[in-house]
Amino acid sequence: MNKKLIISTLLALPLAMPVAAQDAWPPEEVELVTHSSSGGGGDIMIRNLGRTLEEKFGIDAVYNNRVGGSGAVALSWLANQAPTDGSSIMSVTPTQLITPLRVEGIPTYQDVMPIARLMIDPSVLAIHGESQFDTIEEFIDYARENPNELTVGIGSAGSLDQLVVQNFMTAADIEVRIVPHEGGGDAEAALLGQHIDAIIGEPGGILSHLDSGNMRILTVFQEERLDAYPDVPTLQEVGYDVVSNKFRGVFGAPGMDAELVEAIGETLSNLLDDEPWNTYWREGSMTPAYLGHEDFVAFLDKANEELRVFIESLDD
Amino acid sequence: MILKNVISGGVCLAFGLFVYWLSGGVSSTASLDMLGGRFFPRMVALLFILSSIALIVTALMGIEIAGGQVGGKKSRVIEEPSGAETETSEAPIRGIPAGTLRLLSYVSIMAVYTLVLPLIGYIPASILAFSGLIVTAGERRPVHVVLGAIGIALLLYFLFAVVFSMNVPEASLF
Amino acid sequence: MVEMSVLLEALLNVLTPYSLFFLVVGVFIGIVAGILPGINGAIGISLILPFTFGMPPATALIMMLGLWGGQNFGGGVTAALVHAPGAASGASTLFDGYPMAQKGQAGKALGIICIASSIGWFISTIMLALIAVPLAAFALRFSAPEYLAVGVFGLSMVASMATKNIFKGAIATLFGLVIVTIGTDPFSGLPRFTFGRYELMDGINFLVVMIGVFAIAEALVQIEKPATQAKVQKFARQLPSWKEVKALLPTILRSTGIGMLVGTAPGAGGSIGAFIAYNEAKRFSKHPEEFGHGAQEGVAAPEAANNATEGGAMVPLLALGIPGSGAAAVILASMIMFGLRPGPQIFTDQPVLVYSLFFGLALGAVVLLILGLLLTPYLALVMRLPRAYLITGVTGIAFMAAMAITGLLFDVWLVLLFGIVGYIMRKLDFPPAPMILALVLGFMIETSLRRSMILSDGDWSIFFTRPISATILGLAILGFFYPMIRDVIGRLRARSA
Repeated sequence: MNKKLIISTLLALPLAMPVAAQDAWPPEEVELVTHSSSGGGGDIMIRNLGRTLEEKFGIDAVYNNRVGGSGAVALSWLANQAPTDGSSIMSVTPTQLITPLRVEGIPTYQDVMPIARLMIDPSVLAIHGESQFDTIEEFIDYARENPNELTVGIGSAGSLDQLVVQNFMTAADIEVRIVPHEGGGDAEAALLGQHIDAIIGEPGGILSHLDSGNMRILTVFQEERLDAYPDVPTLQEVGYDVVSNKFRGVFGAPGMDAELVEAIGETLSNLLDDEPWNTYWREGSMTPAYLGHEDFVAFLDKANEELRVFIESLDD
Repeated sequence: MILKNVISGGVCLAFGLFVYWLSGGVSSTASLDMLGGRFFPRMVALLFILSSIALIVTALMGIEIAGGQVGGKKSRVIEEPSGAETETSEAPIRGIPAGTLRLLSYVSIMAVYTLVLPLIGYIPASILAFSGLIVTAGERRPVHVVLGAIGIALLLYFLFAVVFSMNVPEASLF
Repeated sequence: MVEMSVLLEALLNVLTPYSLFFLVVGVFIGIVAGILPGINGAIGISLILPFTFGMPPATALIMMLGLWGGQNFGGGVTAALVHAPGAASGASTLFDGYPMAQKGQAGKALGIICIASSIGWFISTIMLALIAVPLAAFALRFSAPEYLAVGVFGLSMVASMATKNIFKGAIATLFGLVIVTIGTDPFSGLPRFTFGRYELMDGINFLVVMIGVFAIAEALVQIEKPATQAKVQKFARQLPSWKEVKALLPTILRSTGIGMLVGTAPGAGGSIGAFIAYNEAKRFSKHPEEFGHGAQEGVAAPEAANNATEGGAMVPLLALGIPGSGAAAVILASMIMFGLRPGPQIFTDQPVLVYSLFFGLALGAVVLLILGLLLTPYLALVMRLPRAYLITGVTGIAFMAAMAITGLLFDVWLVLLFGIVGYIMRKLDFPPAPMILALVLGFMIETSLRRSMILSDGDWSIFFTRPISATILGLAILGFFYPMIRDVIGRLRARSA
């Protein structure tokens, strides 16, 4: 027997063991954190995610709604108090970028560990079923001929949706009135009541209305058509390059081990076909858009810069 | 002249002016509507100022204008529940009325409690604070005080943190 | 019309021992959640959600709806017993519930809360089953101008709340409106009056203010009184008599209608409905001067209304898939998880499930009645506690609730601050009720006003050219000036007599 081989093997063992342990994610109990309150978008996401993890791995999922400060409370906790062993992860959306840009002193994505981007939430322009417009071109033409007449509702001001509308207006050289509401549901109600002409929304939120014909989608602000609505053109096809980057991902505590981060990302990206996660993203017409840690950070850099310019332009 | 009202009216007037001034700092171009973020606070501040002035004026005149009584007879006299406010039945301690001392004690205890909460955790801080409150409220027997404080603290912890899994400050010193 | 077979199947779904058991559990948890300030229906429902995955959807949803209803009752209990709203919807119950309990009528107060809540719940469920779809269509006609009108209508009630000095009442109201502006400007997304503190980005939670101004202020008032003056509460556990209940029925029915209507409009919730019902009860009462001192109608009205808003909120939830409140949002999310697809076609696609929900809701009202009345004597025992423990307990709950709402220590400081503010207000005779009303309505008023301006492109006449908002505004103006006009006419008549 080669002594050297034995010694080097023995030396290598302790190095191998932590790796083996870290491959075993998720742990017996995993805590899923969100900044949204019960029933909100982030809450629904972690509950679907948690349930899927429970079913697939036989573990327990615990949910924690760290509400407050438009996401600031959750970010603070993540940056300062969250454990680094992978037992807690936090769901994130553009809110985690926007809030630190608006208020000083809140940890940013650079102060925590971005683990992975999981999905892109598509933004669509939806109109009422009885609307006079049949295509997006008609909408744009009308808007051009009647500046400032059409009203487009959004869920909240200063959000990604507002950025999309403003980019749309610039690209297509039209003027519409933007009507902010207190939540996507309120905007939907306004459209249903025909108090506004269109909304920017997510298909998942208006599914039943799309099915019943009370609402129709004119265009999608994505790079590719949605599987569920293959007849709806993207705005790029019509000639205007406006894309929405509403992402969903997870963050972890700063200082997490790189291999652990990769393991978590891998596990999450492999859940696409498991239930109820599968139903969740299919029904929401989300696009699986996995980006591991490094790519995610690069994406966040770009998205953050775009948002920074946007928010600074708001406040003059 | 009703002094109480003149002074409170004055304080309110100052507050109204402050709010009006502060609203000037709200950006008027950033918002999606033409009224802007300044309109509502300024309007409210203006009404605030007007009401404060009206309060001061009527107080100086010595009158109080009642709000409209909605419907029905006004002749019935309402019995206030239980004892009259006999503040004179207690001896002041070193010139400060006993009641005021209790008030100050309460506020101090709860202020310290809030400061100390993140340091020593919910249960220890609460037991201390509640003991203080119970003593302030008049219960002196030590066993009762301690048991009462422990009981209330544990009950609340059980209901909120255990049953409903709410986030409760954990000790950071330990 | 609905098939008999569908109704029968739905009924059988609900009447199994299994379903009934969980319904009772749901209502009970709801009552506990309602009693504890800071724990609301949404939190309670989120809590039981994981446990419901193994259940048939109807059972799970009925349990959650039962929780929601129980919560409204619990909120009123805390309001009456310790002058702290256990839930936002219980805020107006304390105006008359607390004096009743102080006068030794705790059992009656709780009994009225229970009975009014059950009746409001039951009737609104029946209305929901019968006219959900047309009601939803009516609710859709509500746009920003209508919401503003409702808000102004609500505020017009302040005049009657400022019984001693109208300017103090005005100042209190306006103070509430100022507080509401703190936070993020909803039309720009930028912070407003936050002084750079991120804790204020979401504004000041009105429950925090209510707990401070009602619970802590009351604790301060009580602790200032000497120990010997501790009232030996005339303690009465007895429930209201049949005669008293019958006398309250008109109030309860009217309040149920109000709650149902208010609940139907997404965004207007239990607390608004309760306040409006309270004021209308005062307006129609033969003894309005008793309000604020322990009028039974003053307890029945808000409690019937806040439970009726649940039935009302189910209308947009089921018929349009739009949740009108936090608890509704969780229920909506749960429905989707269970495969329900709320929306106009739900009545035709899944009638059995829908009618199971209706029957479950109606049954829940009965469960609340029984459970509530059984619990009342024990709950009323709280009044027996020596004041040292009562004051400490209420303070402890209040501070814990502040922590529970966001987990921010900042909110705990706010509770203490508003407690002191509330105490000062009481000492100086500034009525806290208008301030709370302004807090509840203020946000809706500002956003509706500004949104109306965008929709009308700057045209102020929009509020009067739209029929619904014009009507409501007209009623508001009338309601505000009517007592004064009546006064003047009465005096003129007396002079010429």
